[in-house]
Amino acid sequence: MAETILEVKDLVTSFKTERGTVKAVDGVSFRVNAGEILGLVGESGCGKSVTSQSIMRLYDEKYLASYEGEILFRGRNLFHLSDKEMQSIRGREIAMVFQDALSALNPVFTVGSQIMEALRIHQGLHKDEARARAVEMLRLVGIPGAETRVDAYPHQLSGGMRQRVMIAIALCCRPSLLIADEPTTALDVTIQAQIMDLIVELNRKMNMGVILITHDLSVIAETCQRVAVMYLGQIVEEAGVEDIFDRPLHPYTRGLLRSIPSVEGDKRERLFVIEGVVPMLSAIPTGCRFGPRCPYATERCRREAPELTEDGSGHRVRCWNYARAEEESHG
Amino acid sequence: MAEMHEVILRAENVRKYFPITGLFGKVENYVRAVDGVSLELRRGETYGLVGETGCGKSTLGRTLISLLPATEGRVLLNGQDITHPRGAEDRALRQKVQMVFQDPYTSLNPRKRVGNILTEAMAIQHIGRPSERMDVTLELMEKVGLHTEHFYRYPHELSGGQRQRVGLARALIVNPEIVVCDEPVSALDVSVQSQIINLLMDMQQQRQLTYLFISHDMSVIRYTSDRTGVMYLGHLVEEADTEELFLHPRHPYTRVLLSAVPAPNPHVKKERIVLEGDLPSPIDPPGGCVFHTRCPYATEECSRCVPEMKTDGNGHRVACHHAGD
Amino acid sequence: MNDTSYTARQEIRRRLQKEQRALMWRKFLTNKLAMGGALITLTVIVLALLAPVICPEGPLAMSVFDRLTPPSPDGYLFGADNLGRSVLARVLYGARVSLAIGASVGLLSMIFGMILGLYASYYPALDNVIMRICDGLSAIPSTLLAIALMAMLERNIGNLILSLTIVSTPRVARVARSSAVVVREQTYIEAMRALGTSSTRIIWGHIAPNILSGVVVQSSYIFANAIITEAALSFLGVGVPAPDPSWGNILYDGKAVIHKAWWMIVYPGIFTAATVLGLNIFGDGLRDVLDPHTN
Repeated sequence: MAETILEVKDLVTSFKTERGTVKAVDGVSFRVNAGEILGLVGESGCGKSVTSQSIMRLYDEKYLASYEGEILFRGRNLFHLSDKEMQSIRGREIAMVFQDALSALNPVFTVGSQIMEALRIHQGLHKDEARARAVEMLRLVGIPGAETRVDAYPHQLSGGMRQRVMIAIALCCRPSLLIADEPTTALDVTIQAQIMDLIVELNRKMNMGVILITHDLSVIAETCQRVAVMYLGQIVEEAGVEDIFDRPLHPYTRGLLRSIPSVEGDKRERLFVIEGVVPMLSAIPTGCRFGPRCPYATERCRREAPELTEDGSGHRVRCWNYARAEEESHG
Repeated sequence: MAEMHEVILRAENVRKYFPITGLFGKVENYVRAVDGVSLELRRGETYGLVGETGCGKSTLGRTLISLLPATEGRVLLNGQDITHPRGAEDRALRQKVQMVFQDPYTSLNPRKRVGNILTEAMAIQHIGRPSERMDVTLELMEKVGLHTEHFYRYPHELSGGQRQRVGLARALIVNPEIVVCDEPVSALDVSVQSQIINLLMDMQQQRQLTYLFISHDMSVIRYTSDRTGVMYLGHLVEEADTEELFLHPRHPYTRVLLSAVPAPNPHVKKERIVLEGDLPSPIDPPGGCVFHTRCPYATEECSRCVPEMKTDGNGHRVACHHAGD
Repeated sequence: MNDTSYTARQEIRRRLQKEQRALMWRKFLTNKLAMGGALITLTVIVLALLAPVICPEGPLAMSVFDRLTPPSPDGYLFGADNLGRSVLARVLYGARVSLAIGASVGLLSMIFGMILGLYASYYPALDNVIMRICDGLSAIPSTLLAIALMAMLERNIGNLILSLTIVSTPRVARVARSSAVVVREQTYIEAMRALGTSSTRIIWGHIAPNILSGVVVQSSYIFANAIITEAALSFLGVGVPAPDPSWGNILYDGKAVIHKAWWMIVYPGIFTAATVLGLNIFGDGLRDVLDPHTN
């Protein structure tokens, strides 16, 4: 079994708002192994991005947010580290790639100098060495003409190229964990395919753990080994990727899978619809959080919140009736 | 199926160039956003327009309903030239062609209540008596899945999906014949996306609407559209019945697009065609076939001659020298 | 379930409007800047309104024997000036004049600035003409320009308001134009065009409400600024004609006796500073309150 890079245990992230404290993430646990890509999937407001930002401790802990639980990165609890220790982990050992590559790059510096800055801060490289490494990194992420592109400014590059530069910056210190937060959402599908292929390839080459955050189940199907589906701040289902697509147990996962249009297979006349809307975090339903939208909800679902339980094959699901619901949907 | 072929809107060789002005207001060059597109919309159908960022699909959509004046070519609605409408003619045209926009957050005026947004649309088009407008509005709101209380809500009090319903209601309230849907579900969550797609389809059936459905998402296009056109760099490169296009794509670019779409099935390992290089600039597009700089099958002929749009017997049109190969 | 009878609708309408108004109020009441600024400004306004009650003798009543009497709790609260007039009365009555001038200038430059800014943003041909004239006007220091204008015009309050409005309008126009240019590009404006809406309706019905908050905030600064500029003009002798009091006039009278009578400078000074500060703070707070996206 591969080394566990990151283990998140009962993470709770709450934010102070004018209307009181809301828990954007409420009891999330998962682990990421070396060389593995874990998909974190869900709709807006499900807490998938908050989870990743909490791992990096990017929120202002004094005024905005408070954390509970543990985040064990190679055995060290990140919540026990000082700000300074945390700084040396961000970027060097855990790196992040964001959705919007244009605003994540500083427009007044060349892409080369932005990669070199990361190298010089974290690895203390000399200028010439750093430049050589920057060119090497650009080549690694598949930017043609890396020797000249190293002196280009962000606006001179296309969207796909900019996202490649972001990945080069993220990977230049050889992190053991990469968090990719909707890395291809702003990109065209042909570019998306290239970027996802690149992430998979680098994940294998460098044997790092990857958390891929996305709303797109198709991207998950093509790249991840394991998937965690989030709804309203909690993981509702977690399993291996083939397991989750072949045998989705949670009604929410099933609804999502049936509601996405596909270019493959038979065309259905109407798309499946999950009724209702995601509730606000300030008005979380009692009992099962998905209860009010669930076609299988019973009296018990309205009363008691289900726990995340394992079905014996490493498939975890948070539902009282998954066995019955599964039967019904097949029969 | 005779009525299926009644042409409601015809575009003939439409071009839309945006001038680039230099320091002293002198026109130095043009962005060729749409560069010679001819197509037809048939009454009651959904025509899907698909392509990547910068291919000109949104500009074409706006040019087809004269929201942007065409630089060249003409557009006929029910046989009448609508390329450059003026005054009263323009207002009459706006009643027949409507638009649903991509971003539900910027497409509604934040200072107006939902009800005012909708009743004002009727007032502008002089539809109904002022006293009746509220009833008509409430009736339509219910049809698109909104409640009476939303009438008095401000847009920022609604969710993304609800706003998109308001956007659709605003387009439908003037009883248009054609609705241009410009990426209407791209900004929405997966579960909301399917709600809105189904709603669009229901409204089309109830009101015999013709849709021009613009999207970058091949799978959404497949579900919504009867016929589909693929655009690349201002040109329509292929057009066919949607199923035909997805099963037998003939233009290399269409094949690239289809191969890049990820499948929501981990057992399918797709054979991907990788596209070399970047999208050329629409200011200085390549000569010959616009796709030849990135096409895996390009030959010398492709860089010299512009391929003509060729039609086979089933209305599958493709602009490629090697489409037959 | 969708009960749309007339009374039901009215009920929903009342409930939602009440809720929306309550939210707006709460936003305003919890905004410390807006509340603080409003409190200071309102205090000055109330004092100005109560001037005849507090000082029944009026600002012009002279008492030669009381010339330059220092402030005392049982005599002249703010002292007496070089002609033996109560400084308190002159400051309070002066507040009426100064506030009236400030408010008129704020309101007028808001109206004109908005018209200029809106049309400049909408019609590119007008844009260059209007904005270059505004640039020209703002290139001259505003006090200097106001002095020059007053030198040409007869010295009365109406002309004072006119010249201060001319000086301030370009500032509002620039703010109005720059926010209108942003609003004009929003999709909802395109949607209105797609409905066949006339330009006038787009400009006044859709762009104007969306730039109003920025313009109102700017006008509150103009209000404050006009009070200062009026004081400066009166101090220089081209403002409000004597013997009518304004804060600038009182300062002007005090200038000659500054070594003997500090109270003629300090009290109008405090009132001017407090009002200007109050209006500026109010403006800052208002900006947050009026933005529909905060909260």
